Amino acid sequence: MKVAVFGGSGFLGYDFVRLALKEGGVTPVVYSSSAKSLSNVARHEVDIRLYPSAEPASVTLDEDVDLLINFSHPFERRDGISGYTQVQRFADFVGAARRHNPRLRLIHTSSMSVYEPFAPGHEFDERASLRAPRHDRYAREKICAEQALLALPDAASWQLHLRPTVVYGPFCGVWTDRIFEAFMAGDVDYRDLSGRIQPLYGEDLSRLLLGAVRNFRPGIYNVPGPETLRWQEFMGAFAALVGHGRLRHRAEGGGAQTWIGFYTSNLRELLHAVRREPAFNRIALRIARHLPERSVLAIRDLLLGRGERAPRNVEARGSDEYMRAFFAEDRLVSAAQVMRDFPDFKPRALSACADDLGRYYRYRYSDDQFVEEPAHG
Amino acid sequence: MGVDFHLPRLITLCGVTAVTIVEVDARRRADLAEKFGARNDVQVLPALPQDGRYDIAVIATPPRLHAPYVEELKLRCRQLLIEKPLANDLAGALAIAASLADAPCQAFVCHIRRALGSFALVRELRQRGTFGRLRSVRLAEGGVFNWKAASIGSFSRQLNGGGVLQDTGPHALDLLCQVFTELSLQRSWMDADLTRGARAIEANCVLHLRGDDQVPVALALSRNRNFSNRAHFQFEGAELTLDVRDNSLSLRLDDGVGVQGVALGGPLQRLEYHELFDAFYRRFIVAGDNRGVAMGDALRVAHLIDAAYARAEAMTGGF
Repeated sequence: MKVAVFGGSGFLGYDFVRLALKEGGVTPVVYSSSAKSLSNVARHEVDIRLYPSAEPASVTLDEDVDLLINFSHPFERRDGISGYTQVQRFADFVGAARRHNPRLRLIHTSSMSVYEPFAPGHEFDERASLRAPRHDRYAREKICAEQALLALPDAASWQLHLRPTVVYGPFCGVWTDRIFEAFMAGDVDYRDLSGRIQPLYGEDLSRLLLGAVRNFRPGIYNVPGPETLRWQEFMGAFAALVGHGRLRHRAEGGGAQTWIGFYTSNLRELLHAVRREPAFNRIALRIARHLPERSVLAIRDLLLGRGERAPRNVEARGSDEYMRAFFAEDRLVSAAQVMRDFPDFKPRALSACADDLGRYYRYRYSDDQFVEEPAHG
Repeated sequence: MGVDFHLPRLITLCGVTAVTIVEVDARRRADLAEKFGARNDVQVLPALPQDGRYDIAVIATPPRLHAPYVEELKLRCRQLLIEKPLANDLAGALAIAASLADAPCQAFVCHIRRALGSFALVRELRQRGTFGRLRSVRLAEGGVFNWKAASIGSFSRQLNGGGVLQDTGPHALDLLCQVFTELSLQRSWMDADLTRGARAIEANCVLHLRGDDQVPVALALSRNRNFSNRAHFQFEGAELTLDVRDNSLSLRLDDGVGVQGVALGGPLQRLEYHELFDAFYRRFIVAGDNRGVAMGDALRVAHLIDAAYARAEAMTGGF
């Protein structure tokens, strides 16, 4: 079965593609909007097609594609087009494809974020109303995407929407790599990690998806992991794998960042990013020549930090990331419906995935070669 | 993307007063036109003009397209700089080298790490026996791919000839070529199945080589792992560790005494990529000296890459 996979080079998309190729019986065609993210998926004998994210209508699905899986999600302005417009254009594209091929079905990977703001101790079920806070663009765009797709004619008969919770695993940026990198950089400060989550291993989501590809059923489902953990337990598992930095509690307000510190650290981060641009040093030098040396040094120390350089491999993550109130809040959803309708869905606990994660950590952050060592002379 | 690196050097270091950029893709051409539209010294064209001569020509297309541009430019420019890898396979590289053998232009391959001084220093130390016999070499270069690729070229076996080995491989192998006169492949591993189908390209590869005096050399390259980006030279009496992207090195003697520093004869220690590009242009293009970056040097690398693909074994343990 040939399947069109949009966003098939990202974390979740690639995880699904890799599993589909390994298990066989499904031929994914990967649609990606950026050549930057193709390293992983290009390792496989798979058809990769680049398309401009602002113009999904430029894509023509192959005639023998009856299923489209969407992992892509626009969350930034591209080519002058807002995320909302991109969402609507993608929905229009899906609608046109469905009109062209009435057999077409859609699996859309949404997110638990559609339930923002969450409530303490409450497990949201699929009937909960969706009204994300105005400032939460990510959640609002996720809701926008679901609503735009569900507004297509007869959507309930040919669309499956999955709302996974916190997903972690190989190549996950936010809930895996960044946590590893934070501990690699040293101790990680937190204020309150008591919020509860139901973490889901990426491969388990991919297995659910693969099952749905083979036995499609429409609907909307929450997809939580098998256990409820506090962020502290979740992060602690990563700290144990890294074996370097520790979680370090910082009292409320005690080390809170001043507004000057906030702007300085962010400005420095921006400057380190801008420095990678080829023209930066040339222009900076041109300016510096017209200033007294002491002034140049003072500006340099202020903007770039005294003697400080951004690591070139693994970017330093600000330890304040885990000081946010976000980590004190419960984010829970009900698993009843997915367990009832997908009885084969058997997600694994974090402890059962630790070996895999440990192997991934070694893979991602060491020089280990995974081949025979040469005989040294 | 190549424009961002070459154009500033052509203007500021080489003193070029007029630049013609050829971009066949309409969308990217429109972007370039917007970027340089206000400048009188830069024009953007959809195809190379049939006539006209150039002081310097730079070929920074996907490697599959290098050969036709070489043919069009070799009699019309004084200096010809070709991005690495020279071609998408050995046959193509040999053809380009043969074509340029009698051409009047001075040809350079863009092996920018020839501008580093540290690997040439290791060669000297090895030849002088300063720290005793060289026992082994390990070099690992890799990071998560985040190059602002303008096209799918870097991920197309047809256009690029392969994955990471065709991408950072020429640079890493060129570093080793600066140390060893002889360098031969023993075994190679890739994490893509290159024998089935025509699409898959490797994100990771490992090459086991032998240098002069049968010194074992292990080279690991990656586009999805965060390697140390260092080369370790284990001598009898010391370990020398070199950064593969700048000029810094550290030396640790057997008794634990050591030093960190910068090799002389090259640009200073902490180089950003564009600074290395500056150093390359100054040392070779501006100086009109292509020793170390000529066709013969590119062919040496191309032979090793060809052997590595031809003998690739499956790498396990990836994700």
